[in-house]
Amino acid sequence: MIPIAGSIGIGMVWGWLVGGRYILDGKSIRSLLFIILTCSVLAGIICFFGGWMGVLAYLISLVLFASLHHLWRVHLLHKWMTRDDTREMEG
Amino acid sequence: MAVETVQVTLIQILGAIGFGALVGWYVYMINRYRKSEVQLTDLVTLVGVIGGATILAIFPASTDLFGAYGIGLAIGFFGYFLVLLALVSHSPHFDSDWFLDGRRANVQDGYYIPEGMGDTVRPMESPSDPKKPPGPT
Repeated sequence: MIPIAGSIGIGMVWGWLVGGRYILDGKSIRSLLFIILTCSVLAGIICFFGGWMGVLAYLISLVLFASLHHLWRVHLLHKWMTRDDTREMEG
Repeated sequence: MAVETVQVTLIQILGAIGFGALVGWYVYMINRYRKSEVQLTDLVTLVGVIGGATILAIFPASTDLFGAYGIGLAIGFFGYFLVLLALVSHSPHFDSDWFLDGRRANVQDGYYIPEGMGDTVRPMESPSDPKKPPGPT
């Protein structure tokens, strides 16, 4: 149980990180390849410690949290763009 | 072939969770306070931090310690994020726009920001023109 939960934890953190990086780097093919490479390295490490079930749990949480990060950004941008902004804010 | 499992004590599990939480918290912090532009090579560094040789040496195979470390990592990383969300939502000087480009209310009379304060260069996303929202994601 603990190895599976640990794999989910690493997938959550890594999904959140690469989800942000992919957007910030302009959604390029290069960034996608880099992300696939690093995700594969971590999958290999997790396979060593948590087995195939661990890798499966890692991949599911990775995709889930990368999507969640993306959706959160879209939500923030939508809030920004639809706000009637009359406040005095500095950039 | 039977796989030999090594028993670990509760204190070892708790130690691994604590160590993971510390690393997770720190990963979020160094990611937030980095000075340079976003580079994908950063990811390689982070892979080293999260699953590098040191981690593999500390946590032997066939134990639950690496799993406990992963649990702690998520607790530390998202703990930092949740604390940040709570602070931003409770402060009258910040709102959710801060996560996009770092904007905040002007400093009020009687308050000042000391020189040399840590700068969050890019809280999440920085537009080229701060007056305009960042491009579509």
